[in-house]
Amino acid sequence: MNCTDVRKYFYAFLDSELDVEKNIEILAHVNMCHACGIKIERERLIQKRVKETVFKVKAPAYLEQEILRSAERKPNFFTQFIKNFLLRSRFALVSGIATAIILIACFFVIQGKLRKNNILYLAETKYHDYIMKRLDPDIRFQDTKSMLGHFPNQIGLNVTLPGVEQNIQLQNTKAIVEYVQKQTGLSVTLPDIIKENVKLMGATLAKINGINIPLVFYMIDDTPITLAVVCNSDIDFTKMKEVMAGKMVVYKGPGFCGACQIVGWKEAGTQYVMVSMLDSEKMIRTFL
Amino acid sequence: MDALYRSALYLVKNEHKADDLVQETFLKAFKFLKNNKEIDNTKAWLFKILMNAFINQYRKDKREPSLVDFDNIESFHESIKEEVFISPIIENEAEFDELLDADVKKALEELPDDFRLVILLSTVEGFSYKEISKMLECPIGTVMSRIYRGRKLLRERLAGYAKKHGYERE
Repeated sequence: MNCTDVRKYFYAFLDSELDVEKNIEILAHVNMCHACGIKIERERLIQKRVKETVFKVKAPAYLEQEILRSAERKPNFFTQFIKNFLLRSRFALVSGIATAIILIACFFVIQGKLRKNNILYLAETKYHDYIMKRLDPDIRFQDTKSMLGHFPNQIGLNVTLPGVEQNIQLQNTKAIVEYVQKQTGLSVTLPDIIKENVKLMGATLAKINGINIPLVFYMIDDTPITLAVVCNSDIDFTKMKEVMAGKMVVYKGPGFCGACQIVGWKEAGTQYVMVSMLDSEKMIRTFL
Repeated sequence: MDALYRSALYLVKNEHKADDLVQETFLKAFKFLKNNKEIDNTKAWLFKILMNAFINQYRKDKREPSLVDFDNIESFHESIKEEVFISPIIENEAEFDELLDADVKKALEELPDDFRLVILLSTVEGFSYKEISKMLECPIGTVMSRIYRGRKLLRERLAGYAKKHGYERE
């Protein structure tokens, strides 16, 4: 082996990467060649100096504790859930079953209740839409003739209205009471309206199945409310649900057409006021 | 712990980043060990995790390609001519004692990442070429090429510092 060979294996020799045979050959050469020996020794010194310098660096004392704390720290719930959900089929199965149960509850149990409420709400809304459409002319245009054509068709009841000239659109409780009393010959009391958002719109008389019934119309904000003032009613209140509301007895039951809901309350012994409405509870709160 | 930390510090050149790098290395190691997998060479394995974390995290933003091309062992040997012997050198051991730790540190830190990495693994930690090759997942020829070029650069820089301090002799 000559100096060129030593140069070829220079670092491999320094790093003890050569096989035994090559190593012996280089050592033999270095023993004879002073120049190569010096150069190898110098390189060894450089490597040693570098190693010594780097070895002076020590890990800070807090680092070990910090690593141990991090290792013991539990992952947050979301991370753990995702991990378990994705990686563990058993957990995924349980999660799937739980999800299915929740979905079934939403669709069949909770939705069932909602549906029931919706039906009730739609029935009442439908009724009041119907009332508004049919009675609007009477309230706003005083066109009672057009109403007569609609009532029998829509509710299947025989309805007659007094003459157009007798309908009033006085938005005044006292005038309405006098009008109704004059037409029916009976004393009439309208519920006191104390709420600012309730507006008296007008009144008319209607014969429903032969019974002369005064109708009084209110607006609660944008919601139309119809009061049917029944002076000589043969409605069987005993079949209605009786609810105490303040000093009054409030009755709840089916309305005239069967599609709506009415409440009624009895005042002054013989006088009954029938109320049909969109929201029973709201109506009671408004008028009592 | 010290071995990993000193290598991490020389790789990222920042104490906080070195803390993070070592911490990440151990957390990955713990995670791996939880799966009851066997490790043959613990030190080499930990260094492999450290190097991978360094390469993935601290160098991913670098757009420059590797500073070392992947020479094979033959081209590496062909490239060695007289360079080893004509490079600036320091004459004796006394001169090394005069070199400040800061000089060595600076010379090391100024090396390109690829060179610094293999020098830390070979010269400082004493890993074999084969172990370094496995850690960095590159051919042994590439490892040898990087070691050769890295040490050459380091020697030149150290000689420069020694000369600056007035210790180099003609």
